[in-house]
Amino acid sequence: MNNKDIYVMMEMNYLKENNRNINDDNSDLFPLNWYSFSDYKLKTEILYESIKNNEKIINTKKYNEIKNDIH
Amino acid sequence: MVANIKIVKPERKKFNLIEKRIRKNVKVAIKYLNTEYSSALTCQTSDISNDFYLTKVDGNKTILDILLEKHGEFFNFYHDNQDELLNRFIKNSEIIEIYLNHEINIISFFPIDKLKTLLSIKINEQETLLEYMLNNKIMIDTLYVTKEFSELNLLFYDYFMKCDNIYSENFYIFDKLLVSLPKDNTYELLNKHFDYFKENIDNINFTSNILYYLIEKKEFNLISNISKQYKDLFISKYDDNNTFLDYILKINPCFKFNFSLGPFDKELNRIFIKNGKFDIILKDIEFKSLLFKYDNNKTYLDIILENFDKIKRDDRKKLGEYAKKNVEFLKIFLKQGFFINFLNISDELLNQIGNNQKTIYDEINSFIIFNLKFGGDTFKALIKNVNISNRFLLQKYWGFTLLEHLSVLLDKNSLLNILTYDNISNVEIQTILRFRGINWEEKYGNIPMNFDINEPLERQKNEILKDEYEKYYIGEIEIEEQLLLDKFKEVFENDGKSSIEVIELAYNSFKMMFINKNRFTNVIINKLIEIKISNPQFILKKDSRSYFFHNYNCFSINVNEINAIGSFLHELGHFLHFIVKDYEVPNQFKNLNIIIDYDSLEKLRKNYLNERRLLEDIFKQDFYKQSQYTQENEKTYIETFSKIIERYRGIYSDETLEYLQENFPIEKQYRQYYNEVVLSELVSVLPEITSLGSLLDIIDALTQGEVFEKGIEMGNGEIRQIGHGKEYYSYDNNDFIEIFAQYFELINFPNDEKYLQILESIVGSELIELLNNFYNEMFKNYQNIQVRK
Repeated sequence: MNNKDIYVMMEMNYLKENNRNINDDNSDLFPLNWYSFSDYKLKTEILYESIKNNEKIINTKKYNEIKNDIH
Repeated sequence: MVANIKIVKPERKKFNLIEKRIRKNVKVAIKYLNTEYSSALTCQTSDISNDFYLTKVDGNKTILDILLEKHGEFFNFYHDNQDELLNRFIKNSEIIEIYLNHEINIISFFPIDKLKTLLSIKINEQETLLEYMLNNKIMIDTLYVTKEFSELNLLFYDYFMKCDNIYSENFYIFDKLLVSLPKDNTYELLNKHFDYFKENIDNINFTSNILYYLIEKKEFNLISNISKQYKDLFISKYDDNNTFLDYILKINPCFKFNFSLGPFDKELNRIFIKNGKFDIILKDIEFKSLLFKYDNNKTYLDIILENFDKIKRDDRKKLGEYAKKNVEFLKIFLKQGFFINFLNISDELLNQIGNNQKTIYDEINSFIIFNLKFGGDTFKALIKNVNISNRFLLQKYWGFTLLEHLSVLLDKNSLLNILTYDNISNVEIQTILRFRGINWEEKYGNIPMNFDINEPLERQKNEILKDEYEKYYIGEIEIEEQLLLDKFKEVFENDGKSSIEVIELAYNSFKMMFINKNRFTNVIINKLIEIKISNPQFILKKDSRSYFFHNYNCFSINVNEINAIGSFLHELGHFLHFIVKDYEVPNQFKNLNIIIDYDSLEKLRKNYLNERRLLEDIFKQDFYKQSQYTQENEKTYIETFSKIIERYRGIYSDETLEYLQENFPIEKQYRQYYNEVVLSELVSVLPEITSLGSLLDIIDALTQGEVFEKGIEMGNGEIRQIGHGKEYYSYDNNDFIEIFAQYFELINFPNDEKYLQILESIVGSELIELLNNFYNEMFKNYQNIQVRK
């Protein structure tokens, strides 16, 4: 198991909290270029923050700190 | 035996006077005995008496002796009256002796019905003629018996029943007699002379009566030694229910022949099979001949496989090994449901067509699927004793490799028992075993990974890529655009030479260009159609690499490379530049003064490296699994899962880890979702990496190979070559040709504006303006120009 595995688990939970199925088109739940950003650890924490506070990814504090690095 | 003596019958002379006199007067006869006239005396009519013939002429010789010496060969024919001759013999046996002394075949003088009388004539006080001949071995060759038992044969029978020793010279007559004897007589004769019979068994003509006798005496060794020519005897009826062989096998189950049976001995084989004696069939048989038909529907092999449990372990093994070499054999094994021993056969066999038009591979695969679903304990027990090739071990069933299924189905030791050294040296298998906590070191020691056998991973990668490409082309296009695409496809598909895969790639690339509303898409397609119509030689070629070389007739694409669309656009750029503008280089380009912003270039390099690394990471498959989740093992599953999560304590926030421990994923969903994420990442990375690569190549061309002369450092010490190198740019105009093709690729890919901005930040706006104008000018003379951007 590695960071990517943990990230994938967290993303599954993120979908669940948003009442989405893993087979749906879920692109609206993620910011543009979310998948070209490869810091899984950071992405996991962002998702957790979003789940915990029940807010969108783009509104989380951690995402706003790093969003300029995501192009 | 009837002596077959060929005699030329002389013309009968008219009896002249001398001859008449000779026959009447002994004295005259003696006078003429040594002349030709004496032949008159060979005509044995009643007017010449026995005494006449027995008259001694010259010491011991009789007239008959002299006549036989001189005219012996004629006697046969002059015996017109056999009865008279027989009477003469009966009256005086001395005459017979004289004939025999002169080796005259008197037996042949008489028909069969008279032989009994002849042979019964007493020669002396003790012996009849028959006894006299057989006892003294006189003219034995001339004796014979009839095929059917007759009175004549009875004479011989009586003789053999009386005598104590049979001379070897008499074997022939003994053997023939045996053939003709009824059952009871056969038994008696054999009882009397059984030792003699055994000594001569190799030459005996076997009959069913002899066989009955031997069976009754339980002489199975003798029966085994019977020559193969009598094999049909064994098929004949012993009694109403059995053939001889059936009966023999019933009373002596170990019976077998000393000769080997072939596939043509159908009836015998059938009896052995009926009695379950498969080892007899398999003994010495060439396995190939088991493919012969047993009946209309089945081969011998079918029958044997239907009775596989009755077959010796050694034979089973040999048959199985043979099937691994012979596809016809293998097909019958599979047809009969024998799969388990063929999980490690060669790829060559797997690719051949088996039963029902399926490949052997498909057949075995269906077997595995069926057993994983319904096999249960039977499958578990079966699979414990077989070897499995890597191809099957790594084949996925419902998202998991067979190896992973087996690691759940079998305990550690059983699993290790079926894995071979070759299996474990495979990198993927080692990885799966590691994640399952299965150590092979105790059994095999340290096995180096073999990275060459990595085909399944490669296949998987291609599948992902295929899905990934589709994401480029999702979007609406207009009806006229669709019609144009269809026309393009039709024109090229019909030439029979263009690669269907390249056409498909071109079709998808143009569709992507329509979706992104790029300039001149319809013009470019029309241009290609126009070129094709005016020059039918022009084709879209598939090759092991992508290239275009000053050629009116084709350009070539490697459709298998990761960025085939990028390559297609790049070569198309070259082709259009060549066809439309004859590789023209604008004057302004030669006077262009470009200053490179190295800070921006460094930023581009870093971006590119990040994306590259991400791309490589995507294909590094992680095998997350310690145990498989079921409702029954939920508790253990959570415990294992929690332990793994604990390792990340300190790396992630405690809250995050606790959340995950409470919201653990069920493995199956997790695997499915993992692939979804891989796809999303690929879609986001591939266009990016293509476009960043184009930018680097443009800068490489601008500096004529100088900037990246030494390659670029990948961040981990590894140096990679990019661009074309200095030598390529030492040729006139190659720099602009390359820049244009890269520009063409870049602007026709998604998000072109973003990358043009990056380019501007590094080299300024002058170059981009020049390229834009050049591109617009290229198609300005064409009708239907639609600048949609």
